[in-house]
Amino acid sequence: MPPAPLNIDTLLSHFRTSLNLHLRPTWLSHTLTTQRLPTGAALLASLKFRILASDITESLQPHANLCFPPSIHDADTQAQVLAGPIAVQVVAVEDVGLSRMEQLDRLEMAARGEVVRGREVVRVVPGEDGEAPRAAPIARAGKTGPCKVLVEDAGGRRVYAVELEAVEGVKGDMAIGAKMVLKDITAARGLLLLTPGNTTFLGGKIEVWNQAWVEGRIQALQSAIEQLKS
Amino acid sequence: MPPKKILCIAEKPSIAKAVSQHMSGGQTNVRTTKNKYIKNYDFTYLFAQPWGECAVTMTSVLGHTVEWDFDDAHRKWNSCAPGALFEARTVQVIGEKTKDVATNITHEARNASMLFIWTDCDREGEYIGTEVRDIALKANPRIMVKRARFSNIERAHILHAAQNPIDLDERQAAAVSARIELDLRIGAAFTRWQTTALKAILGSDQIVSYGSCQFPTLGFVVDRYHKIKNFVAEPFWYIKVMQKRDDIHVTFNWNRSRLFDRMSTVILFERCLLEKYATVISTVSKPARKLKPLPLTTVELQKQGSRLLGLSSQLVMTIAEKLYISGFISYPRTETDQFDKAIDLRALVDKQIQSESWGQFAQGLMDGGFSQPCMGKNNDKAHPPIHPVAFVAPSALATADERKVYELITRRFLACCSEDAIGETTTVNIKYGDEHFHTSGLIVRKRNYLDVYIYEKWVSSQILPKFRDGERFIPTEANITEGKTSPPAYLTEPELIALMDANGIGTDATMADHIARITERMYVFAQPKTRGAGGGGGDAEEEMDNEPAAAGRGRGRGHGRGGAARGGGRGGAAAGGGRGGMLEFIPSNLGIALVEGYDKIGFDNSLSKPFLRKEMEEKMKRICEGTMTRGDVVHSSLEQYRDMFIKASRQVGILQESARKYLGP
Repeated sequence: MPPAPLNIDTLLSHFRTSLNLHLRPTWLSHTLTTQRLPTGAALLASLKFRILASDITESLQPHANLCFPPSIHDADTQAQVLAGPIAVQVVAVEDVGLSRMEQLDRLEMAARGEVVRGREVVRVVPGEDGEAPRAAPIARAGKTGPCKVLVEDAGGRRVYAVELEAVEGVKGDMAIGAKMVLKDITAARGLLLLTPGNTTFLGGKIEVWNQAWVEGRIQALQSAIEQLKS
Repeated sequence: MPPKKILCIAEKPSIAKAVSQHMSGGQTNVRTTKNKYIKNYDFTYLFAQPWGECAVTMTSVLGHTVEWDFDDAHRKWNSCAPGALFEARTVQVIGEKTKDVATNITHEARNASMLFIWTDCDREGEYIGTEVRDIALKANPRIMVKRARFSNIERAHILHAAQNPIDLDERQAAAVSARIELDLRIGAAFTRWQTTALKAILGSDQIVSYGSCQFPTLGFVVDRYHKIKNFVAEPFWYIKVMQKRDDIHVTFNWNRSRLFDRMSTVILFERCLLEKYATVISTVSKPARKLKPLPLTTVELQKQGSRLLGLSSQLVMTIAEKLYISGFISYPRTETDQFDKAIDLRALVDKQIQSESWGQFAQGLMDGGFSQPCMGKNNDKAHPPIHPVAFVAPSALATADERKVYELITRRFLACCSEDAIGETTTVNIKYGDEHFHTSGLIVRKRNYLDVYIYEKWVSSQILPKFRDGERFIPTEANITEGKTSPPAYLTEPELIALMDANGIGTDATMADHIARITERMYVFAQPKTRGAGGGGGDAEEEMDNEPAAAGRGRGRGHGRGGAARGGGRGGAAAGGGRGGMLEFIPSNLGIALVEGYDKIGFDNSLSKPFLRKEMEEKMKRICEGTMTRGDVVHSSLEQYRDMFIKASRQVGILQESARKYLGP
């Protein structure tokens, strides 16, 4: 006996309760009809992947209680707690524990396929078959973080956030477009204070954004440094 | 029947002389040879069975006797295209300078039944041993060959070596022979090619030499230079909390140390102030130790010699060599940082009791203070760590530098045989707003090894007033401060050696030579480091030194062939500075142009990077371990460098353009 087909309402409720993601029914039905997706349990995994790869301003409902309040940028508000849950996607990230020079240095070395381990410079050689080097080794010199992240809600409002405590998944080289859900989070003078308690990292990325970010990152750091010169 | 004759051959005349003195008890008959440096010492000696009592002739070579070169069709500069040198036939010839050396061996070997080789016990010595053997075998095909294993020129040690001959290590010799061939081919091909390519631009007949160790060494210097030149100071912000208690000002440092984002810092700071009270999260007092140094390796000696004594690594090695030949210290080229249990260290300590400077300390060790040295992670299986084998009165040493080097080696040895310094640290952690801060104090209880190892300091800090766990207080002061990053300083010699070591450029025995080479070639200029210039950019470690070493931290420090120097003399910055001779390196325009040119041509695997050479060095090790043959190594390394050569030849314009940029009118 084939499993009962999952209808749209079941799916909407599934992602609402399991991940706090309030999908737009139109986006969901469009995705279901235009994309070739597996059935059964595999469908849920496959849809989750699509959601995390989507632009949430298109895929999620921009209800007021699921988004930042319009007053969020008011710098006169010393602190306010946002109940949420607010699903957001990462638009930009910077490790503010590192100078721009240090960040640039790491990126340039990585581009040359080098990694520093202590004093040793290690070259990451492409595999025998000439493929791209395997995922950049995690070995990174020195401490990092906290990160300052620019996040965007389903309504397209963008707010800065900083790690008050280290949050898993948040790092200087995290993917752009990665999704997080914020609950009971404090915004101090418009800056969100991330902690593991108020931030659930879901992952994912928006391929096009991420690619543009990675390609433009070195240039962006260089011009930031140029500006400091003057 | 006349006694059998045994021919002993050392690597240098001084060793031949010293060894024959010990073996003969001073009763030698000295003969001169055609070479003015080399003498033959005749005496009789009672070897272990089956040799028994033999007539001995002890002589020496002068390092290498055999030279490698290209055959006639390729030897001259313009005889062939440089690229042909990758496969040109090579010949091994006895040069004009060493002809008499070889003749002496040939002559003495004819009536000897045994060849007993006394070259230094390292890779190079093993190879030189095979040169000697080949010459002797040609003169006398029936001669038997043995070698002596020794690592210092102290009498008992030498006599033990004389009684226990071993065989030559063919693998080590093969590794050296592979390296010689590779250096010859690669060096000659690139040197000829780049000299020709740059001739017009340099406007002289200057030879622009290339060496596969020299260039990565130069690369490190140029790399640092660019970092300084391109440096832009960046602002950062940090929060500091102060508390005055019992008339003591206590400063709590931010656990985040600093942030490069003003907005975040200001907002976090505001949240501290809003909280009003700071809470003591924990006060932890625990025993602290400053670990005594590891036994001394060559790399470490060079680094410390430069850092603490202000002597160039090359000079340190020259002096160490002299001290070794004089029988004062053990063999100075070693990677080993662990003492064999069999060595009677107390006996060595005992010899130092007569010193006016550290005799009392040595006496203390003999009277119960002795503690077995820590074991490092490296053992080259050939030599012990560098240590004094005899006491030398300062007046017996010719120069102040010799005295300083001997003193460093001896103090280091005594420090190794002493105990860690013991103290107690107290760390107070507080939470203020959302932020965490800490302060710590140190009380030194027992100085132990520090009493003799004057190059390190570890002193009690200001005493902390009492803080109770859970206690809340209103900080006397809290503020936000702006700072600026400071540029790194020029690369110093100890830093350069550490980089070469970590990246597999050269061996401990050759590093100093490579550094001297790029200075001679005027690729870099060496100047005494001016203190204060450049700020503390490269000195991140210095801070660490004031932090008491955490109790219970493993003995892992100083690993990686003397890689990490932390704690090992860093605290001696004052000593280094006071004598002010540590060298720093600045690249010349030519040096910069060469590195930039090759970087543009070679991209990720440029010849100015350490990777190719490091691979070659690793292959040498594999020959020694028997996992690769000499032929495979030479073949594969040549292929790699030939690829780079072809790439470079095709893009000669890039190198020339780079040279014009820096050297043009």
